[in-house]
Parts: sequence; C-alpha cells; structure tokens
Amino acid sequence: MLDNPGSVYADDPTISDADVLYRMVNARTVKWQDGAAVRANTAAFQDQAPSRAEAMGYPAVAVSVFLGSTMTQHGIRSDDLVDDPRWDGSYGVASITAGQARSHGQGIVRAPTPESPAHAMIFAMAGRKKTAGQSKALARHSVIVIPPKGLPPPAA
Amino acid sequence: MASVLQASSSTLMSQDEVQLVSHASGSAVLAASKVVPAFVGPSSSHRGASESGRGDQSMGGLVPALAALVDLDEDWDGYGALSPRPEAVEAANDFLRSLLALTSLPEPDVMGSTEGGVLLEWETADVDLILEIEPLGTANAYVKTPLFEVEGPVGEHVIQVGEALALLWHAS
Repeated sequence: MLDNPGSVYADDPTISDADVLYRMVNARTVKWQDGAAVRANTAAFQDQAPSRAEAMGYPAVAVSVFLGSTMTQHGIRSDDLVDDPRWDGSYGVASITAGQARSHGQGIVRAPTPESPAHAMIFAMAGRKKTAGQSKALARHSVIVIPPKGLPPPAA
Repeated sequence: MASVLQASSSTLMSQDEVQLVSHASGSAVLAASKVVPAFVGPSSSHRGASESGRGDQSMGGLVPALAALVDLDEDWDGYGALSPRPEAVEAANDFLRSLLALTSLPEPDVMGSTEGGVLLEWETADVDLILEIEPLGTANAYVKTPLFEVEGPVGEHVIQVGEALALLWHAS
C-alpha cells in the first residue's frame, strides 16, 4: 500500500515557479487538432499506476518530469531527451512550469536517477493521487516543445 | 434533475430541450453509475469493443477509438501505464452508445488511463467534463462549468454530469 504523496514528498522551495518541467509525450498522450499535436492530454499528467510506482521503489505515485534548471546545469537540451535511447524515437516533449503545477495543488520534488540528474516528480499535495481535474489543468497549461512522431490514434 | 436544469439553464435552453436532454443524459449517467460495476462482475461477457458488433452510426469515430484502446500494450505512455481492461472499454462503449443514441452530443476524446481504465473527455469553452471509468468498475466524474466545479464518483454527481451533458448538447 502506497502512502499519500503529500505525506512522503515535500515541495522543494529551491525549484522556482519559473522552472520548466519537461514531460515525454507520444501520439497517445497529446491532444490532436487538425492533425497537429497542440498540447499534452489529460492522460499525460495522470500519476503512474500504483503497481508501477511500487515496482520502481517509489513510496507514492507521481508524474515524472525533467527539471529544466538542472538540465541546463548539465548541458542537457530538450532535443537530447528525445534522442535518449530509453525512448523509442517516437516521443516528443511537452512542458509546463513549476508555478503552473503548484497552482493546481501540486508539489515538485527532485528525484535524480542514475540515468538522469534532472529527473523530478510532480506530486499531489493532498489525496492519494492527482484528480482528473488536476491532471486536466496541468495538461491545459502544457505546450508542445517537440511534437511526437506518428499518426493520431483513431478519432483523435 | 429537470428542475435543476431548468433553474440553471433557463436562459440557454427551452423547457422542452431541457427535459429531453436531462432525461437522456440523466438516464445514461445513472445507468453508467450502476452498470459499469456490473460489467466487471463474474458474469461479464468480456466482449471487446471491436468484437461487440455495435457499430451504431451514432457512435461515429468512437468505435475505432475504443477498439484501439483494447489493443494498447502495457507501457503505452512510456511511463508504465497499464493496458486498458476490456471490461472498462466495454463499459465505456455501452455508456456512450446509450447516451449518443438519445442525444446528439459531440464525440468525446477517448483515452486510456494510466491505471487501466478509460477516460472520456468533452471540452468546450464553457464545459469541461471527464468521465473516468476505472478498471475495477467504478466511474468518477470531473465537471467544470461557469456555475460550478465538482469531482468525485459519478453516482454522487449525476445532476452535475447531466447538466454538463445538456450544455454540451445545446452547444453542439
């Protein structure tokens, strides 16, 4: 049983509201309009499944992102994210700011991994996970930095 | 529910329109809140949307969209999302079919949820409506209109969901 994110993570005050948070997106996790990806969709900002969080050793669910300020410190560009072989080449990048996330009840915590010093997480300050309304709000703020490759799914 | 719709939407819709849509959407939402759990019970037929043979014209592009969800592999979002469960997809299919057979609503965006459910999302300038059918059969709603914003189990927000659907129908 996972903990509530807000009970195990604390919003990091050293991450400024202006800091940019990058989220990998694919054709399934963007909103399509006239054949173009216009922003991330609600699913892109849903917390991962609890089973996934547990398998990865996290104490609570959250949304993984890359922290722009840390990327800059390490010379990582958004282009480098999509070129990383951990993704299959079809992914693009969407972004929001930390302040936008915070304005919808979220906190941001640094969570560097062996693969990426810029890894961070957006977590719900209250409740056991993000609500659909919160995920939608984050998605609505998002902008497409690099569009994903591939065609829209049926009826998108 | 008709009285609620009349009270809050009287400037937008005629009485006949309100009654028609409130009846249709209210019935469908109520059905969803009760039917969705039934579809994941032991007696469920577990038909996939692509196998159900229900290509109603009212469903338009939703049939292939729902069928495509059934085929999603695990990790379809790159962050470990679970494959949508066939029961959730079938419940979404049945809900939409019953709703769209009664009203000419715009088609929602159809997405998998990271926990193996289905997200149905309508978005206009005035209305945000998300119905999340979870893999174990519960259904949650998020509704935002100029008058209110609510979130929680569908069964607790039938009136608000019905009103949002009525507004969507009127705007379409």
